Amino acid sequence: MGFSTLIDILGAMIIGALMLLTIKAFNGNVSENTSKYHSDLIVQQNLVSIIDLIEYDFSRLGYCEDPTKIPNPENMILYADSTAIEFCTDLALNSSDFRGDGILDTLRYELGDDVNKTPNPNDKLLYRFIPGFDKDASNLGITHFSIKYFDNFGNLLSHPINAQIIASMQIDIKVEDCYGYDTDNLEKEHSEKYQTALWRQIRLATKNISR
Amino acid sequence: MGGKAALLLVLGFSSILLIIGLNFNSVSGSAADNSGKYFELVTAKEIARTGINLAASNIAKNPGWQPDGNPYSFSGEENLIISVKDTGDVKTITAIGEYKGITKLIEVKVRAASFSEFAYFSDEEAPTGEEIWWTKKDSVWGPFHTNDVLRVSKHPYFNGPSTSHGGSLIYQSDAAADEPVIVGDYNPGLTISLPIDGVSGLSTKASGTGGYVFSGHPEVFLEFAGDSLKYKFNAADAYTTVLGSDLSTSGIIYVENGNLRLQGTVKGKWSVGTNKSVYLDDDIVYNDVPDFTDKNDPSNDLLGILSKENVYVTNNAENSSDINIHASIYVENGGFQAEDYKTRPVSGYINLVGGVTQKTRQGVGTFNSSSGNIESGFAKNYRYDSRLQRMVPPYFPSTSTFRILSWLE
Repeated sequence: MGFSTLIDILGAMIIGALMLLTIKAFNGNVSENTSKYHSDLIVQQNLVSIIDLIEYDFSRLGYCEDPTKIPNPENMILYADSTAIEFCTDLALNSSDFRGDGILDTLRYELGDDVNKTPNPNDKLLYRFIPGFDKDASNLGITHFSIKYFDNFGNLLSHPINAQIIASMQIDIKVEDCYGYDTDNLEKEHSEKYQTALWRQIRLATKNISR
Repeated sequence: MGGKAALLLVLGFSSILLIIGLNFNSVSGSAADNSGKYFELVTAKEIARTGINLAASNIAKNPGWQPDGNPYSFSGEENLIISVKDTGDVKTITAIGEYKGITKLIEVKVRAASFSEFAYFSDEEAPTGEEIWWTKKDSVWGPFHTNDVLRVSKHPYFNGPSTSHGGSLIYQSDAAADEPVIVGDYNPGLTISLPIDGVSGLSTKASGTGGYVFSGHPEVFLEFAGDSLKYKFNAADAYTTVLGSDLSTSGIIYVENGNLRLQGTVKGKWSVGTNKSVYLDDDIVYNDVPDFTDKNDPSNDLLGILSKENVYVTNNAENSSDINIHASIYVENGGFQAEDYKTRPVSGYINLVGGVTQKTRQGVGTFNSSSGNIESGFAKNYRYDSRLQRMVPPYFPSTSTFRILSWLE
């Protein structure tokens, strides 16, 4: 084995190492981008699922299949806070019949505490439940849920909210990926680790309040 | 051999890149589909809402309206189906919007509105040349409407399914000091005309089967006494007593060209009226007094009082210390007032359970603007009978508008 052969081997090793490093970097980038793409999709799907449900429920605020039992406006919303609301409605009989049974139900939305079992330090549970029954929830990565309330003249109501004079409301929701990517990397900002999606319903006024 | 390896390497990398690219495209496509699905759902919902608004608008103009263009085209596509179904006095409007294969159904129940629904209605808020303010002491529980401007001072309170006015909202000083508190729907700029044939309509109904008309008497004294009715034509005369159902099975009694003087205890559903004035000579109350806050109260007693000219609380001994009135009052050309309210002695409270619809707001008493104490006539204690949201006295004029009972989407 001559000197030139040695140079060839060393050169091949260097080129091979460079190629391996390139492939490793390429693989890392591909993994990160794939993960972020998927996270984006999951976050968006979670957000759409949540707002579908919220728009559906809030559009039925004060509704009753038996119109004579529809509560007076001052009794439609039983409790209102920036992260919780409880109101009268007539829940659908089943998934194929969206009408109610003519008996008023009470529905409550309430933002819960932080979820500790995921890397994302900000995700919380949003409960949707009938008071008196168990509060079931699945973690869809909600990190912000807030409601603002307005009276008939568009004035923002201050806390404590007088639920009797609510005429419309604004709902803000922020959803983040619960698990993120490269979450142990301290050099990354929070927003670089967890994909985010926002939704805001401006001045939601249910027709049964303003019927 | 070296050339083949390089080729395989290139092909391998190309395949990997292709798979990664396809994966990215798939995820991007799913994300776009996700956003698109929400957009399509919202669009379908808005198309259905358009259908409801279209139907409601047409029904307001013509109560017998039926859709004749199904399926309607929205943005050039036949994607809107409207149906209107009559179920008793309630119309159910259904609209189905369709967009990109996604359909959304909205169902709305509406009912012809009656003036009896109002806790307070006025065409004019004050006699010519006067200004009357709704002040901090005033509250109206139930539907409120005036076709006039609404003058407010120091946060008056309006609590009803709807509050509206046909003119502007005038503050005595500014919004911060005077803005009213309104619970329920608020519709400024809405004008609801008083009919000119509301009382004559009652006359027609009373002349028909089951009604009763008093005519040829300048005054008719009518006293409700549970199942019975007592009437006479002069104050000094003795009453004639009849079973109420013998006099009128429809519950409608009308006095032609004579004043009607009323009092007593009402049992069942009645409407009484005249093309002259009505005088309330003493308490006129329900036999089964309802809880005025409960619209589902089981009491079946209901009274409508209709007058072409005025409805007066008579200035007499019986009314010198409070008067209790349970009725929905309708005055076509004048207003509800206390007789001699500026000169009669202080007379306690008008305890009204029901509602008042009138052409022009009138006085029932005067008060000292400094102390707030009543100086003549009555103080007001008006309570809306919540049953009027679902019950109507026999023939009571309709507003020619429709009210949304429920909105389901």
